[in-house]
Amino acid sequence: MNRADILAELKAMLAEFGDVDPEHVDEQTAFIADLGLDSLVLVRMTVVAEERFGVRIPDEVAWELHTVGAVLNHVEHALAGQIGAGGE
Amino acid sequence: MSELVRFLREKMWILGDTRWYARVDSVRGELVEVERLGYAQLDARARAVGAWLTDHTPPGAHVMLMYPAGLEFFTAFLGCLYAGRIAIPAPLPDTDRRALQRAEGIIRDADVGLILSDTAHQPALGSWLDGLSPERRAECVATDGTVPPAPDTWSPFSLHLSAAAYVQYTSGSTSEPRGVVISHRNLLHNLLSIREKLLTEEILDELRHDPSPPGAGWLPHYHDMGLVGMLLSPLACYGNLVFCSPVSFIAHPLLWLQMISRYRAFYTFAPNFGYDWLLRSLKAGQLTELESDLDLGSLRFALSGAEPVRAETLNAVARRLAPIGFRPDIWAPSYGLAEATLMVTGTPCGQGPTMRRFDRDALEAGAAVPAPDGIELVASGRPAGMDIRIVDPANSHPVKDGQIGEIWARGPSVAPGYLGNPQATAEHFAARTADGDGPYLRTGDLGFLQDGELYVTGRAKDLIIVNGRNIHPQDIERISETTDPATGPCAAFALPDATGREHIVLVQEIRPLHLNGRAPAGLAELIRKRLAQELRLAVHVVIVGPMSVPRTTSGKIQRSRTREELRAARLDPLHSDIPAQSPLASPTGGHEAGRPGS
Repeated sequence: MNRADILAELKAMLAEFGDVDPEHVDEQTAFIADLGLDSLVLVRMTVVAEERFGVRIPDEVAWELHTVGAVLNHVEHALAGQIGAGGE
Repeated sequence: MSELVRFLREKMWILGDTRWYARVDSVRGELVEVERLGYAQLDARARAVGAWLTDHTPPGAHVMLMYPAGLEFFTAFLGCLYAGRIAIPAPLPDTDRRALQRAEGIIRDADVGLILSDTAHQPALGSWLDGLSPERRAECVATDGTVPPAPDTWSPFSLHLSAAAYVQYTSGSTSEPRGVVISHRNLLHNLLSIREKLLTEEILDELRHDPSPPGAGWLPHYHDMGLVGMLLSPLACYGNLVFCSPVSFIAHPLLWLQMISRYRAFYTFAPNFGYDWLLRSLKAGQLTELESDLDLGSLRFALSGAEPVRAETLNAVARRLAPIGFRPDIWAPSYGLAEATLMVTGTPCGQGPTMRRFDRDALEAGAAVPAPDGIELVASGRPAGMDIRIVDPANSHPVKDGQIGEIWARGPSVAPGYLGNPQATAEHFAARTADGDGPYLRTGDLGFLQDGELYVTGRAKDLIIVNGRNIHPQDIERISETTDPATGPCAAFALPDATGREHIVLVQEIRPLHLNGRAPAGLAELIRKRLAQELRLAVHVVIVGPMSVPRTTSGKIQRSRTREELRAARLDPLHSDIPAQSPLASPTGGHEAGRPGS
């Protein structure tokens, strides 16, 4: 899964759980400050992102992922780490 | 052993493992049961914890419980009750970013020397504790890790009903946590009130016989409704319980319906936001494809409490879930607060909710006047083992039925007070009416009585409630004020939109000398980002000039007046995040009942 795939999936999740128009989303978009998402949507997105991307997003990391770009970085790193470590 | 412990253990003795508690989770959309303990197993583990506590701590020691959702927490909590140690349930940092900060405040406030947790969380909590200053040093022990003593080494000892059972931290801002001391008598009385006032004799009879229908829920165990309403009340009513963690429900809202359907649950319970969240997450058409799987026909009691109960939510949920067997007459609105253990008023099973329409303008002026095209309010039921008075908060005179005032409560469920805070205890727990009747608990909530039922219409306090989170405006304001040298005093409050959904607004004064040519809109963005990061809150920022936020003569900012000024368009903002066409921006937009512009 490359960065573009992750972004597409994230946009789909934002549309599904937050009713956000994908047109309004880019890497700089901040979940709360720009999109006004509430804490319930964020908790749901975090758990579902772990399931869909197959990576762990520990809570202390999740708190710091304020923008779409930050999530892409984290998921990319986590996926690369799995491959490097011969993971799933 | 107090009468409360005898009462709880009696059920375990009589019923053994014929009754159970089970926790489930969602795995790839499917419900999976992850743990289950029978009553007798719970009792054995609680006795083991009790024996360990008796050996390792002095009587009456304050023991903080920091567990994930699950039965390990419940056995540790019961173990504290058995041993006469005072449990203090607190959230783990994974559910709230500021949980550790809050926990540190509790350790200091309650002089906690021991924290119990599980092996998965003990290492992280241990290293956090090592980093605290030595005078706050507490030890963290995992109850599932240490080899516990045999249950039989626990020996019951006599404890008076007035002894403290646990401390419920709910009220108070992050910097000043406030713990409600709940006695053995309080808990016993509230559990009996729930059993006697909410359940009919016929239902109780069903619960006593096999197979006993379970309850289903997902509330956090560190809140009063999760602890007393979800975990403890089945034990008092001979019932079973199936539950999941709050995070599992938030992430997989259908899990709630799956629990009810799979286990044939006869009752469920949640604050209004839970039902709202379920509704929001059910996309159009989603239920029809699941209809064949889900059947809520077993449900006879759906409690809504701990938050204002909204007619729109009850009606919309009932409509949405009707195809899978949800009946509108099973709604059971209730009202309660931690200061009264949990329940203050409730609606008995089978009675159905009372919803009536009242004139909006009259409500805002403080009177409940029936009007066919007015705003629909839901009654929170009748006093359950409690004496309720509606009192004018300004002069402490009781008001007539149909008049809005502050809700005062008295009864054996009302807590003795706040831990180590005689001043706050005197302010909240020792109220007397103008004619000397008392003492009453001042709930801080506003409402009226009509035909014996309580309608809760607002909050006298400035507390903001969003998605089940109680947010103190001080916490928002403190962050905003320290965002930039140009941010001066400010006021945070909630404003409802046309649908009644509340939004948080912050009116922020600028210090022009520190603005250095920057645009007010840029400052608003900085504040929004900071609040999003620190509190995970989306806030509408309104920037105003110096001395624009109304203050008292002693210089304290006035939130409700700021709010009125904003709604009346008298603030003249330099920047506003609220779009001009938004119902939040119009003086007539939004509605709410009976919040006096004090």
